[in-house]
Amino acid sequence: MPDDFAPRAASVTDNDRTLAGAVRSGVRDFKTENPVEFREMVGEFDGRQANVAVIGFGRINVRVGGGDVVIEPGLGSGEMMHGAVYREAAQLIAAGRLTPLQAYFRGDVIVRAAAGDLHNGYGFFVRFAELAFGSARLRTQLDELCDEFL
Amino acid sequence: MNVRNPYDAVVVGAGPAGCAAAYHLAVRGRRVLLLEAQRFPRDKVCGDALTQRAVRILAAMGVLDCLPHAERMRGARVHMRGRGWRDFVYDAYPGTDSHGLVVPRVVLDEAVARRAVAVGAELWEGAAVTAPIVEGGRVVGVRVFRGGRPVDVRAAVVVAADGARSPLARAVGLLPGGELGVGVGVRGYLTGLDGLRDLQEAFLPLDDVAGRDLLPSFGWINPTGASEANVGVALFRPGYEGRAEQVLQHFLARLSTRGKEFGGRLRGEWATAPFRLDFSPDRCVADGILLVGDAAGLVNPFTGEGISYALESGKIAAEVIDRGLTNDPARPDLLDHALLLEHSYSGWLGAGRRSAQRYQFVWRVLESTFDSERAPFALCRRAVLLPEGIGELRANRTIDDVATLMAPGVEVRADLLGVGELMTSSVRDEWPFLARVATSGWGDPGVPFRPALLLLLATHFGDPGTRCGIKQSAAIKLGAAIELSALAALAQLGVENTPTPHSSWGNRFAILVSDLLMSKSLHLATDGGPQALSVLSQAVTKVCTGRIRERQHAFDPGVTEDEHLSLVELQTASSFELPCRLGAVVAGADPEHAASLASYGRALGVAFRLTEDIRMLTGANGPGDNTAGAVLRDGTLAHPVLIALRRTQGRLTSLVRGGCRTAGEVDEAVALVRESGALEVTRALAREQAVRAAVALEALPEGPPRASLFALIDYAVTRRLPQRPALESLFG
Repeated sequence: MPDDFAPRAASVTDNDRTLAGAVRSGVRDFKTENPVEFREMVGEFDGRQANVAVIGFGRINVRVGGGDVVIEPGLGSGEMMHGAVYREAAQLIAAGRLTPLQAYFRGDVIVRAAAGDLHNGYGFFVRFAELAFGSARLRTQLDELCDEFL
Repeated sequence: MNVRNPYDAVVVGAGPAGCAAAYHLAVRGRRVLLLEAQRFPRDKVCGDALTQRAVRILAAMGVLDCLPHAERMRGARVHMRGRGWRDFVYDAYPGTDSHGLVVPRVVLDEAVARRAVAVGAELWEGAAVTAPIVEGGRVVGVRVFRGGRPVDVRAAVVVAADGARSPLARAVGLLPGGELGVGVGVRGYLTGLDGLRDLQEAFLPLDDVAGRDLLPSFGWINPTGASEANVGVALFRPGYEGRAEQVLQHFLARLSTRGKEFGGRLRGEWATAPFRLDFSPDRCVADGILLVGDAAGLVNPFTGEGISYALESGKIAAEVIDRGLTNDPARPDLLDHALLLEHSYSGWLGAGRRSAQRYQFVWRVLESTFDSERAPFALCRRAVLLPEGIGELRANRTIDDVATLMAPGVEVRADLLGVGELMTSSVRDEWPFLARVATSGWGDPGVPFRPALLLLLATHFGDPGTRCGIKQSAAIKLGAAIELSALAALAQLGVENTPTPHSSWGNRFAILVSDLLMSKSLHLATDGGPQALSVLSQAVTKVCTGRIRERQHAFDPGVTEDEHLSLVELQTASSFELPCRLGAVVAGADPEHAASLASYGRALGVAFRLTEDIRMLTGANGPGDNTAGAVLRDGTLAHPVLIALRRTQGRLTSLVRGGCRTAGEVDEAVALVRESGALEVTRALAREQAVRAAVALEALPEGPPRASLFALIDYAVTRRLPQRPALESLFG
């Protein structure tokens, strides 16, 4: 292996940073609009982390701890939950033309996790995705993100 | 296209994976160069078999039309050492592509490459890649030896489709050092053969020359023509490479014992090739380079099949590259490749390396259970031997899908997806292929009977706060616990008394699987609190007590009807009462409703079991169902048999005591039962139990959930389901 070669996984792209910023903002909005659900979620996932991707766009690492969610651009290391959604599917969901569950059944939403975690992640996804995508602020934010990168 | 790079992508290796990548990039309008070290037509060491899945992919690419006549395979015949053979046919699920093919790689690879060229890819033959070009920590092209001189080819992305050895992957540090691969295959073409069948034939497992050690291996015969076949062996573990020749000769000697039909002559030479089983998504991508096909270790760890994965991974790579180039033509982001491969193959191929280490055990289990019709063994056979094509088909009669019985407004499907996922994840770590067993039939969001009961009750009765997350989560966990305990009971049914050289493997396996599933079930139930755990353990105790008593009364025609019905109450009614009681616990239902639900579950269970007895004796499960024979040989007495014994005595008593040793005796016993009118008596009793269940429901509030429970009663007696609506309409 050449000395100057670095695995791509160690790097962070501009899109990763943009995505992280947008998701931070989205989480902040979700927290403001749904404080009870937010507390329930961070309580359930306290101490856990996940890599989440918008396929064809970027990746972030999400950590939950201390009653809040920390979002960093790029992938975290080690075994953890993985979640992904195709960008087109995210847009359709945001536009109200596809439900998160439909996207899941179509394979446009991908979730992989170690034993047990998958279920929790899935359950919260089903419960909160509709809620989150029902938020006018989040939809506006997604529109801005789409405008910028499509 | 970047000004500096004449190509968007350069694909190294024109096998199925590389050609698929080139094809899918070219049809997206990308400039792609496909490099092949040799010149077409050129051969590769391979079994040449295309599964139904591979056929589908090739059809979508338009390659099938370019292929010359190929031998169509209607399925696979799997031979198990010392245990005969079984056929697994594709046309159990008819369709235009319900077949496999055997296409020699010398033909297939050229056809796929020409197809890629036809849609716009550029192909260089006789172009050997000698090294990657790496700049600033990124692969930016490859050095090619072509026409007697080196040429540097630059591209935004390099796709390594250069086989199990993958010099490119090794050069950039994506292959572990040292060991080349973890398997080896040897094959040759034999001509002048008679008696070839329109089936791929696989022989499991092979042994060493002395016949002492079973090896993690298999042999195959894949007919390539009327009298010619691709014949070979594969050994899956590292360190066995030196034994391949020896194993091959032993395999051929074994084939010759089949008779004169296998007296062919070798055309050409025997050829050997390594293959990798160490798929790991993390090492399938680095900056500027992607791995596909054999280079990525995408080989089925149980059958050696790799062409369908090669074609699929090529397509996935092309999609990732295309998206990456759209966003950043100079430096496309490729990391999604690892994520998508992981999504497609982890949990199965991702477990390949671990599974290879356990082959000795798995294959001994398969050998000893090969001729068993028991449900857990049948599921394991399909899951382990034929995950490709045939294995992905849904043919599981052990889990009923009652989705269409749910009344409008009652939605338990989403939660049941959670149940299925949880069941899978519960067993995935310990024994990867069990995950497939546990979830056979869960490919789409079906609604299994018992968890549906629980979720219906947990989410639609009791206090209005039931839908809040904690209770819903507990209900999903308890649903998984119930279904795992049911599978544990099924695994117990796999314990047989038949003495065979390896029967202890079968029994041991069944017992261990049952214990594993039960322990997982109890672990999940702890989340429902002490009361839920108590309810579950009481039910399991009842079921096991019923089983023990049933064994005590086996082959005893003197059992009374009341005694028999008490066994049914213990064994079957308990397992239906369980979800009802757990549902009531989770819902926080008041004591009166909880008692009604328990009564409902018990009566429903008895009705279900009596109906099942009738179906067993009337062959309602379809051709090939020999449950009646298995049960009679086991000494288990179904309700209609007991009624018939009271009415006929004589010959039937003798047959029951003797355990119906032959198929003729089974047929005779079944005929005597049917002629006695016993089926009508059992049917009437089942209806009576259904009425009891309906009466119990009267105490519950009216509404769609209660209507669903009534529909389940009807199903328990008739086993008829309304036609299922299309998936899309469920979300309207």
